[in-house]
Amino acid sequence: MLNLLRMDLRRLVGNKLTIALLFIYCLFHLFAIFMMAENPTPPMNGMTLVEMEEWQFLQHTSSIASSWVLIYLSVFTVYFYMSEYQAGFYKNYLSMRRARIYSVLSKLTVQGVFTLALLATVVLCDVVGRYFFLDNGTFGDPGLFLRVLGIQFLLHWAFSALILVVVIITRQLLTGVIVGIVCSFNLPGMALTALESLIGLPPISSYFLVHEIVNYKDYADLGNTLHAVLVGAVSLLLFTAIALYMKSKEDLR
Amino acid sequence: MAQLLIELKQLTKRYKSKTVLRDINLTVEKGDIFGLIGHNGAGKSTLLKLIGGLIHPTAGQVKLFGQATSVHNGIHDRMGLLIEQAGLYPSYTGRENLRLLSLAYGLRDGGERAERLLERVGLRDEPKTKVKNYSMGMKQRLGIAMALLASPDVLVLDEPINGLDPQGIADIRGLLLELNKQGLTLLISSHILEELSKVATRYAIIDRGEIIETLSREDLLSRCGERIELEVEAASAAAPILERDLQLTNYQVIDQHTLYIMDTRVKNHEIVAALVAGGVAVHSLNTRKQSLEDYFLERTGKGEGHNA
Repeated sequence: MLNLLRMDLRRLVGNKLTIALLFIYCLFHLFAIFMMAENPTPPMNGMTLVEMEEWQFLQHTSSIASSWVLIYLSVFTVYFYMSEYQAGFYKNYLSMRRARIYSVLSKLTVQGVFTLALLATVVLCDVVGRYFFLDNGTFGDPGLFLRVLGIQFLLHWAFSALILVVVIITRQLLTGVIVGIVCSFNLPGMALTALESLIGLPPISSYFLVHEIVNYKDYADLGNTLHAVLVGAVSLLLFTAIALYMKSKEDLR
Repeated sequence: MAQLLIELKQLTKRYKSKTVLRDINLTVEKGDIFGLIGHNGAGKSTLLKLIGGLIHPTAGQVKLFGQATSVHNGIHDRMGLLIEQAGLYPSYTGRENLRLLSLAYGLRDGGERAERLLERVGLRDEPKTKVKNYSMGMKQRLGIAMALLASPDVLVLDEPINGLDPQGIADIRGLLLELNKQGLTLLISSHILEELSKVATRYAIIDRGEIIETLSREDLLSRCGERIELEVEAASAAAPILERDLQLTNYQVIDQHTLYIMDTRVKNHEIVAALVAGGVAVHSLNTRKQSLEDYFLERTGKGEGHNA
């Protein structure tokens, strides 16, 4: 497992697309903060953008659909998996003991590393953008910030596991990206919410992963925190299990 | 008794309703260069993928090194695979591809091994060329180097000379013979019997998902040499006459009317005279020399189409 992870990490670090994705995201995010500063919106949850602390701002930007973080994660996940699949490189090592299982776990770990790098980029751009464009250099409560960052990391990582499942099943680059984009708009969540109100279903949409990501919640509240951790952890475990099952049953090209 | 490294029993592979391989029984012994011959689409690659653990059998069993396989049990560790195109990252150099794979194998001396293998396959002089700029032959050679990286006991190669020029084919052939001399067992598929016959020691002919014949190099050469095809009233009556009167021992009874005589030193008229004298009517007698390719086409039932 560790050997395959070393190989995948080498690919991650040596890959220009990884750096390019983070850099382009950085520019887009700074531009988005600039536009927010230029076109102020009415106060949300009782406060303006200028008044928000970093953990609130992070929550706020994550809740704007379509979520660019989700789109970037989808593109990365699909690219990282499919580039190996299309090159056929897996054929060189798949004969090793438990290689199918370790390969999936390794890909998931790399996706976790990229998710963390992407969220770190978001935070960095937030801090710089808020300082320059919103005249707010304060960071706020570090404990609460780390809690929100941890929750967002778990939820986003679980989302990348969902995309991995999609590409393992479909083996198609485009399908993976399209599913990622559809999810980033929370279209399934919105459709379910509409159904809930139309036919009086219980509120199951709140347990949907993407719904949890794109809805602003007060994670200072312990109940909300536990709910998010539960949704993230269950989703991650579920998608990991599906990915492992599908990979171990897969007939490879 | 020779050690069996690969043993296939009743191996079947179906994709939905299509049966790609049916009841394959095959053994590969230690030290063999085993040639798997078949037309495109005969099932060669599917069979090699099953042996290499890339796909799962629908029925039957694959035994490697005396143990039944499952995809997780690690027996495949001792095999090097080059199936269909070599699995290479096109934007990396050959060296980078090898180093990446050596990380996956956890090889401490991965760099050294990569250099040695690049030297061996003649790619050491291309340190900065990316794989996407490699010729087909260079990719095949790098693919073989990748398959050799973990020092396997068995090397499985699918159409290794595909797309190579004559010099490339000769180079690969030399490399394979050298590897075999050093103790490596090879399983090679090809649709070009003529080329395979220059290296293989045993053969299996696969057609429409079934193994229709397995034979040794000696068997193949004797079947493809010059022979007299004799059609008589009763082959069972003709055989003792050939042995007694003409001292022929190198012959085969094909069916109740047909015999093949491999010893072509005896004149045709002598054969006819001996048989007639012995009371056996001769319907026809032909001297025939068959090329390896003709033999293959005949066995796979495509000879007529080929000749037309």
